[in-house]
Amino acid sequence: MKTLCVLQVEDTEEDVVLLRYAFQQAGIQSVLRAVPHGEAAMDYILGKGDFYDREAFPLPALILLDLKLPGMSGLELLGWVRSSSPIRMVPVIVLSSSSHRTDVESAYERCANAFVTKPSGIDELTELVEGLKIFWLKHTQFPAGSVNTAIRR
Amino acid sequence: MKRRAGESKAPVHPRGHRPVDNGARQSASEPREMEEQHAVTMLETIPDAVMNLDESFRVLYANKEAERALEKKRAAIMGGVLWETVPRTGGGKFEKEVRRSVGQGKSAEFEGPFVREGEHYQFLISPCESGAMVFIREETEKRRLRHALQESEAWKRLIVDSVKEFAIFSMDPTGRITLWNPGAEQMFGYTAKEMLGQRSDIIFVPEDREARMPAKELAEARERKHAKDERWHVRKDGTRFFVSGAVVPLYDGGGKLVGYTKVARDITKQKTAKDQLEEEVGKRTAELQKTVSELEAFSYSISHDLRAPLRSMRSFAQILVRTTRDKLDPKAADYLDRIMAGAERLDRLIQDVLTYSRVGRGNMELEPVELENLVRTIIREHPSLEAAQGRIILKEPLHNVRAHKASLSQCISNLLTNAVKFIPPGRTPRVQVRTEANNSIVRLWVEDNGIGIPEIHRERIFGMFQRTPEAEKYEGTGIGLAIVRRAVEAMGGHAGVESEPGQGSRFWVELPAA
Repeated sequence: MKTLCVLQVEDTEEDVVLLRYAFQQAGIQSVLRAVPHGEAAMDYILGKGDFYDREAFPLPALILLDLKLPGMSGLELLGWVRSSSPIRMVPVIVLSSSSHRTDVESAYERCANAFVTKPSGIDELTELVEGLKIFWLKHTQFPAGSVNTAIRR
Repeated sequence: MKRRAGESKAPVHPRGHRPVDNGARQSASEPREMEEQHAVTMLETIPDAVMNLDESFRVLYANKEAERALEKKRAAIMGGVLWETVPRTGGGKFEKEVRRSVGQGKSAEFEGPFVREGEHYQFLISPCESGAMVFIREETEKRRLRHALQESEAWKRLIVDSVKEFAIFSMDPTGRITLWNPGAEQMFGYTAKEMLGQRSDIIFVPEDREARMPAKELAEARERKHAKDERWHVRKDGTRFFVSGAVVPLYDGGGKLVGYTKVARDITKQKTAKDQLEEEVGKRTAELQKTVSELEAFSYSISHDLRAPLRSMRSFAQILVRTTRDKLDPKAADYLDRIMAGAERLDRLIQDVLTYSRVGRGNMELEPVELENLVRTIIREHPSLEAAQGRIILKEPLHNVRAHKASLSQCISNLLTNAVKFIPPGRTPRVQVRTEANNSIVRLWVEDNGIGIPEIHRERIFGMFQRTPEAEKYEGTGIGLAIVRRAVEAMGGHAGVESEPGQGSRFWVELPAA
């Protein structure tokens, strides 16, 4: 399996820990990086500030995005990624505790690749992450020049 | 005109009024006499009064109708000078005209009063060799009409002049004012003197003047026979006031436009009150909308913020159990299980409260729903009904209903879940779903063989968090039936239950038929 980077944008620390646990359970080799809000995600993607080191903070092949974030919202970040970021084509999976129609629809309107409601237990989360691994990290082809160069270097 | 029938006195011959000379008359043959006889009969029967006067205005002949006009018997006037024997025939227009006609030898036609007071007549005076023939036609009807017309004119005048609450004014076809009543003077502040001959433009506000409203209003009146409007007008002193008015076009008998009349009323007070009310309603609505969106934000925040810590509680407890169960003493493992169960229950509770708050809100457009399909899909796909597959019998055919599909689906799954859940230990659940159609209402029954509901609880269980003591042994949040009732009522229906405690319950939902 290729070594890809997954960027998690999530303000709830427990959810970060749980996802890390689920990644381990699923045996995912990818680099999992987490930022706690949208502004940090922008810095990460742009390689600014603390994130200047692309070795330590490679461009993500996949973004897992929470919607409700302190400061700029997940939807706003998604809008920025799609319109003005250097990785406009990166797959973004919204991972939210909401199942509100309006949230789902506005996420897809801003070209999210998928909307997933956060599972309420660790077993379900592990199951989800296993699916993620097989579909997104194993079989999915990414557009040329999008993300992998930094990691392969 | 009334006729007197039945008088058969020998007619009095009109003397002298003949176009032929005496000689000819004296040598009259039999047909000529017949002719004269006919003429007399004719004179006697026509509905006009006819008299023959000699040169000194003595009555030589009067027909039967003349008796009525003169209010005298013929015998009483015959041979006498008319204005000496019949009161009110002399001294006026009648005598003057008759004298002139006879004097000049020219026939005369005129109208005027006669013997009977208050009545009007048409006269024809025709001079002849013996003097004059006088024809008199009563014109009472015409006169009455004219009178009535004059009277109505007077009334109109009176109304127009005395009505102060309404401005009434008329315009000629070009829009120049021809009448301006005191009400208009008072309302607009212009006197009739100032307005007569002017255009009505100056009473319009500048915006309307610019938009050519004065002319448009008249055009609309012509096109639609009536133009109603409500708009701001301006007084002479520049103040504005709100007017409700109507313009009607006026046509003469030949259909030619002769002008317009406008009646207007100052409704500023009502308008202001209405505006205030609307403003108030708008404000309240905005407040309510704010409250609603605050509530929405609240339920959104419940779903997000409350469930997040719950998720971590549950997940970490699970991880702990998974990784350390072997090393824990049974008591500690039990506590961990209770933490997880508590978290799960709270999660369900939050989800149910959220469902309850969302149900019946937003777009509840009703559409025809195929009930059989819907119920089958729910039974097949709802996780908590999996175990009861085959225990739920549909008594086909089910009638279709008009409903909001997602809400109805929620209701039916709640009812079915309850039906298979509240079963005494050891009993096999048996659920029947059927419908009854009554006029345009369909009642859907979900009947179970469960623990039943004592009468005193049957209404309460549709409230929030309400559970019967018997139900305490079963999992549940006490919200499911509240959701059912709220959703059904939002769709214009009703929900209820019949029950035999210990034997089972029959829940029903009524909705409009499709």
